[in-house]
Amino acid sequence: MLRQFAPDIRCDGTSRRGALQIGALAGLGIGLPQLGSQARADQSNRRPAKNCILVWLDGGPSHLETFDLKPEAPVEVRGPLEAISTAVAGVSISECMPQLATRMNDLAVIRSMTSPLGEHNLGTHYLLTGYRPTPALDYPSFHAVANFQLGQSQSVLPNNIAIPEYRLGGARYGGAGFLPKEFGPFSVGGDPAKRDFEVRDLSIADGLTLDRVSRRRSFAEQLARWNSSESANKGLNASLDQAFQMVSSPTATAAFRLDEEAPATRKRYGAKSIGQSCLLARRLVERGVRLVTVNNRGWDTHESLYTRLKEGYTGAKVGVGLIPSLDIALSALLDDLKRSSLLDETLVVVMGEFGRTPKINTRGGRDHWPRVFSVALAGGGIRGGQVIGSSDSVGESPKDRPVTPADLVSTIYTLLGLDPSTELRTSDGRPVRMGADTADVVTELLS
Amino acid sequence: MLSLLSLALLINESAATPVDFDTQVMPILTKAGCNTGACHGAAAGRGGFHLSLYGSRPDRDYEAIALALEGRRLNRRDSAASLLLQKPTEELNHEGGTRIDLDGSDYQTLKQWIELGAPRLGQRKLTGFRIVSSTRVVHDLQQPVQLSALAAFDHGSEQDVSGWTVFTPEDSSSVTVDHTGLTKVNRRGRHIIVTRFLDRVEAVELIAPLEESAATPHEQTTNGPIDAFVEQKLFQIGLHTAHAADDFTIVRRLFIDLTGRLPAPNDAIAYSTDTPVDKKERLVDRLLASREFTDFWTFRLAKMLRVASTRRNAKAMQAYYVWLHAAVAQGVPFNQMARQLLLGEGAVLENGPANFYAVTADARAQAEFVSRVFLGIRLQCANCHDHPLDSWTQDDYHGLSAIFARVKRGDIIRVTQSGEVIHPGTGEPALPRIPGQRYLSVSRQSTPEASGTERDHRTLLTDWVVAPQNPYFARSTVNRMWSHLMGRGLVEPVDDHRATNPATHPELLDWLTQDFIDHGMHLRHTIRQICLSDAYARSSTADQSMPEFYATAIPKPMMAEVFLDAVSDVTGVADDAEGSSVRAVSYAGLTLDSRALTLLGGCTVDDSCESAAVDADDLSVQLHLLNGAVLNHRVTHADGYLRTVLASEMAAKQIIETFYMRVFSRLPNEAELGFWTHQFPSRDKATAFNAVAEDFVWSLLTSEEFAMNH
Repeated sequence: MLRQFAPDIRCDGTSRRGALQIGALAGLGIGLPQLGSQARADQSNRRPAKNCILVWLDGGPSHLETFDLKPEAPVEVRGPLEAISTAVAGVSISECMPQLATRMNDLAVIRSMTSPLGEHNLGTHYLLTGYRPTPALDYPSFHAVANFQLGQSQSVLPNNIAIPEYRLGGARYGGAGFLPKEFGPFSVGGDPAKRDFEVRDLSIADGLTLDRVSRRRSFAEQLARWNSSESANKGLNASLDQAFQMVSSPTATAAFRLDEEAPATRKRYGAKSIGQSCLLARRLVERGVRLVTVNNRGWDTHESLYTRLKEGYTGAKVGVGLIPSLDIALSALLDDLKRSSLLDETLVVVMGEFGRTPKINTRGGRDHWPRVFSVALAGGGIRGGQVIGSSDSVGESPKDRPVTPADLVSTIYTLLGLDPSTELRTSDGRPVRMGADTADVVTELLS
Repeated sequence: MLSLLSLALLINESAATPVDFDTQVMPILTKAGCNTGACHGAAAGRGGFHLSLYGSRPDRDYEAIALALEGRRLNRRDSAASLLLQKPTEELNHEGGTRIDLDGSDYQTLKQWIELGAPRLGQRKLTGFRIVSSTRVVHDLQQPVQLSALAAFDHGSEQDVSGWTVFTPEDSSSVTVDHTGLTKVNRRGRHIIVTRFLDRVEAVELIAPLEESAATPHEQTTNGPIDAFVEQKLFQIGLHTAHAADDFTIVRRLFIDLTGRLPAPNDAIAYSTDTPVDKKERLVDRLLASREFTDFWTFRLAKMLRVASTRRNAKAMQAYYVWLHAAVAQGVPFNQMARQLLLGEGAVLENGPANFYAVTADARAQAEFVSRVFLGIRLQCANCHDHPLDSWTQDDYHGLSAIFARVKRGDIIRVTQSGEVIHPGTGEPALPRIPGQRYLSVSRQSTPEASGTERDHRTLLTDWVVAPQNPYFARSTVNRMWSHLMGRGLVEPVDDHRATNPATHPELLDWLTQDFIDHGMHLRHTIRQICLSDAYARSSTADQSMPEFYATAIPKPMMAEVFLDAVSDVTGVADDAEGSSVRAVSYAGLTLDSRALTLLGGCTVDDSCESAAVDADDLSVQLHLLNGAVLNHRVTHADGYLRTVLASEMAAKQIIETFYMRVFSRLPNEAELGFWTHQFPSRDKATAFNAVAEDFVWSLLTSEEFAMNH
């Protein structure tokens, strides 16, 4: 199949308009010395984020138990968890996130996310693409678009990796949309928290040698040449090409070896899947992988929310549920990225497909609620220590500054130095904007 | 009624003309977007104000606007101070922004309606709605097209309602429509615009032919109605057809499509050297009569009908499969198969079709399952609200569910006198209803003496579903056949038939449907018709930019199961290294928990998945083909075909030719033969020779030519 793409983007990854926008907005930066036009010029040259780690809380995390607690609300709304104060005066978050509370200066929380889509697959599509699903077109995720626009890294690793599997929000969404599949996510296919973790099919098959792998490659290339038409030389299938490269590269295989990390480090991230996945995400980013999705399942808490979110198992003395595990994993990730000076160029986005109903249901859980929910961001040059927007007194609707998933995705593009108005082309030549034309960038986030 | 109307007219004689709520106020709100799912049309409303989705329930909306909160939304004394006007004009803070222009005529209409006391006159009823287009074929993209929406009312003549009609292009980057219906087409091809006025939706098709070839008339073939319809459309769009595929390609295509297997080398050679003019017809008939056809099409239907669903024990599912296999083998007409399934009851272990009720979770899931597989429609939207793009209502959804609510699911499927589903709109048990047709009982109390009533409901439903007059059953069935064989449905997706998703070739779909009915709803008949068309027999070219016109064959990736079986056949090794050696296309294959299949794209039967193909663009798939057991284990197997060949004295040239026939169903050309022969070392270097042979076979099996039915 013939595919052509003509991204309207400059070689350095920033379109002209994108650079101008960032420059204009940076002038409004608060907390920076105002040096007039000089500062603006410097700011406009600010390097955009290069990497993006998405921590996906699959199933839809409760905003009322994580980032948007309502201690003043009636008990059926307030729920079982308490709010604690954070390093930022006036901002409180869940009692299950004491570590993140001390790192609040690095975090920005949007409490007024709003979407009309309360079904897993539909909500996931909207959050990941910035477009509501339509039968006419399969949209790419922001990770796939960024992969397509940012260009290849020097690494032989795939640029877009999901840990353990890219099965988000009902798993009906593949990630690449109308972009060629190779820009979509590669699932490592194993849980890094398991003792026998390895990447599915990355070790060379028994009986094969590297010489034979390279011979197979040359055979496959020849067959691809013959199968091309005179007009279009398809070349080797890009995914097969990548498979050959990865298998043949010692550094690629070593990237996944978590036992190279000190035991203390592994412990710091927590033994749960989300912890070891965040650790692997850090290793991958350090090795030039630009886009990582950590998929943490289990947030669809229709029942027993207290046990699942806080305790982990009924009667636990120390909570090891979903939120405490997120707390230590994300804190360790932010600390390490900061230490290696990667945090400024690595945007971290923490979200799920929607929030949960304001009232606790009869099974001690909360159901789907897309009308208002929270998203947290860190790194990547965002301005931390702030809360953007708010929900009403019971966490039912946005009270002010509503932010749609379309707005969020366009903001992520902007933070990555990509102009949301850039047009992509589908395989049949149709131009489609990266960000929806109705979207507004959340300018408060840009530092 | 008449007196009320004249009264209203009388009152207003001195003042302004009356404003009808249902046909004048409602369209303004719809056009302004007030009742969309993102705004007040959401199931829970928005900001405490709830309207029915796209205005499907004017009575409830009238209540919400004029009566709720003691009429606080309207100010009859100072009409301009009404919330209904101040919110959408943003005189008061409105989350949805400005929807209605203060200076516009819509504002005046609403204002006038309030001033007249905000009555619900019921003046007139919409009786018809149609779209008139200045042209349906757009040659000059610079030239806009005017779409006009015409509404007919029971009192008076047709009226232009373009200003209150919502125009939504299916692809907004290809077509733009302004609020008056002025339309600009930006790309060449076929475009659909969905239009909505009150509760009517209508799809408009615009064709923008290709510039360069627009003037070249097409040569009409005389092969039959299918080709006449396809070529008529090709002529309209200005596409040239690819030449006919060669014999080797045709024989391979037919074998894979009809039997899920590659042709044996002898079959391929025999066909290519055969001379009779009707050799294709003979081959199609031979394949249709084969055991392999029965196995493969049973497998396809089994996936759709959820045979081997994990919800049930294996013995019950085997009974389901055995019944289905026998039905396909005997050529039972599809309407009879559907009848037996819809009326299934009895012990699931003995009575195959009873399992049709055992593979869903509850009555609602059953209603969605039935409407998807037998009607080709997606009824699930109508669970929570009336279907926004079709005529299905919540009454239809819950009414159909109510028919199934009295079917007891267990080891014995029984129809009982109790069981109901609650209609979320009324909070009451839903009345059994044939969707879009009629209620089966007027009250929800079923009288004790009417025993057997509920069984009768299923019978009445079944009679309606499988009747030749049913507008969905035969149509969605032939469309599925077409999609399996041609790589794309005339209606796409195949389970989404609705007025707003029109077929690419409506006349062809009508013809196929009628032909299917006229010939007794035999699947083999329609399959044969399609396979013998010229459209089916074209070669597949590199340019696949407008596949929906069938100018070239659409290459179809093999189903994961077919791919796996083909690898087994080529290598002569069925054993998959996971301890199983069953054919994937079989009952055992349906229940197989195979890592390779899951990776290659096998899908779970609990979703009625109809085809999942091997995805060559997936890095995980390619890594598995390179390092996993699926190919390596089979290619190198001690009892495999390659080992046998290597143990013989066969020369490199013969090995190459043999595997080309086995894998590609053709012989290598000179360049290919030259390249490969050059790769093999001399025969006495056995280890090196064998390794090259393995890598040669491996590379053929990972090539696109093998993985696609092209």
